[in-house]
Amino acid sequence: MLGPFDFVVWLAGFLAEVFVLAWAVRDRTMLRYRSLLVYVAALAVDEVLSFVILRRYGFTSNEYVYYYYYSEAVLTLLMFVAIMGLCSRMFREQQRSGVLRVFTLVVLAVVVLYAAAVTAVKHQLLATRFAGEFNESLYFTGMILTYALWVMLLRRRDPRLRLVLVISAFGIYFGGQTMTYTLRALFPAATSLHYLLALMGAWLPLSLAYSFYKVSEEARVPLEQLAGVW
Amino acid sequence: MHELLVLVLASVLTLYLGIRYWRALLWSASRQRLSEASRELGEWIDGPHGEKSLAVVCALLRVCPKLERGSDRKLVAVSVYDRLLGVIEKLWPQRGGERNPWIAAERRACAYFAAIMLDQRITRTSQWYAGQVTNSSS
Repeated sequence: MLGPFDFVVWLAGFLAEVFVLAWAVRDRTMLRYRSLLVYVAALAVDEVLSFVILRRYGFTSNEYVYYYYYSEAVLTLLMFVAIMGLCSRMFREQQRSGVLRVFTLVVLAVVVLYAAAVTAVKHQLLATRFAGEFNESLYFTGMILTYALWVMLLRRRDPRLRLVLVISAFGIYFGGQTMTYTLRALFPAATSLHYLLALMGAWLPLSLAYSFYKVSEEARVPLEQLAGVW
Repeated sequence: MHELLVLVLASVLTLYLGIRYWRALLWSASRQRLSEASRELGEWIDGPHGEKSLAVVCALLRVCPKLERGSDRKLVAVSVYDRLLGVIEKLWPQRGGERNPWIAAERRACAYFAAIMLDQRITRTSQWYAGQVTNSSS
């Protein structure tokens, strides 16, 4: 059953998503992150829909469980599309060679198509144990891809601070979700893990809201400030 | 075994990116310019023993009138980070008693962050005081 903690974290995440969208209307530089904004909009719609389904059918109902896993898979697909957008933007800025650019985008596109195909074909299994494994694999792939994106970002002497924060936030999100799903697989009886899942859900919109509100598009961070550890 | 490997890899990468995220945040927060009122403090932080100046800046923050409500959560987080760096420096001292340049730079950034908070507080208090004086004279 969902408690006050879950609702507070949920509300914080939802408000951050609405804030990001509202801020995009004001700050036109954010339109460069179109795919990311589409993902945030989908997140906000999902929050409303899941709340309605939760109120109507209850937390333990089949309808809610089915909706939760199905929407999770679709949102993860949209997240990969958002990362593709970030990737192609970075390639454009760095004027990378065409081969590397096409290769990275093809890898991402294959992941998206694979996940979309699984979601479409095996949708009846998405409320079972398979859903957990499927999401864990997607998050793990996302984590590796985001890390690769991070390494590419570091090859630039003075990367944009906003891009650094957005990509790190995605990496932390993917890593955190992978950890949570793996811990759930290792310790299925640990009920307290759902707090971690709720916190990770709110982390991404909150960190995006901070990055867009506090950091200007032109701000840059010297490489040595980021890479001076380990 | 497979799950354990994934868990270790995910933990390492999340920690790695978490540290980078924190550094980027700290860097962006400590890049603001200080006003005339606290510029000397900034110069002192940039000086030879500036890495140990967070305690002094925090003491100044405590004596500066505070108009806003709530606790200084950001300052608490930065202080904890500064202490952690202090402990790391004590545990792994450099050869020849030299300071670790990275730790010194990080601790300076922490002190600079607190100096910006002090600067903002002084500005707000001055504005409030100026408003009070104008109201009482009119």
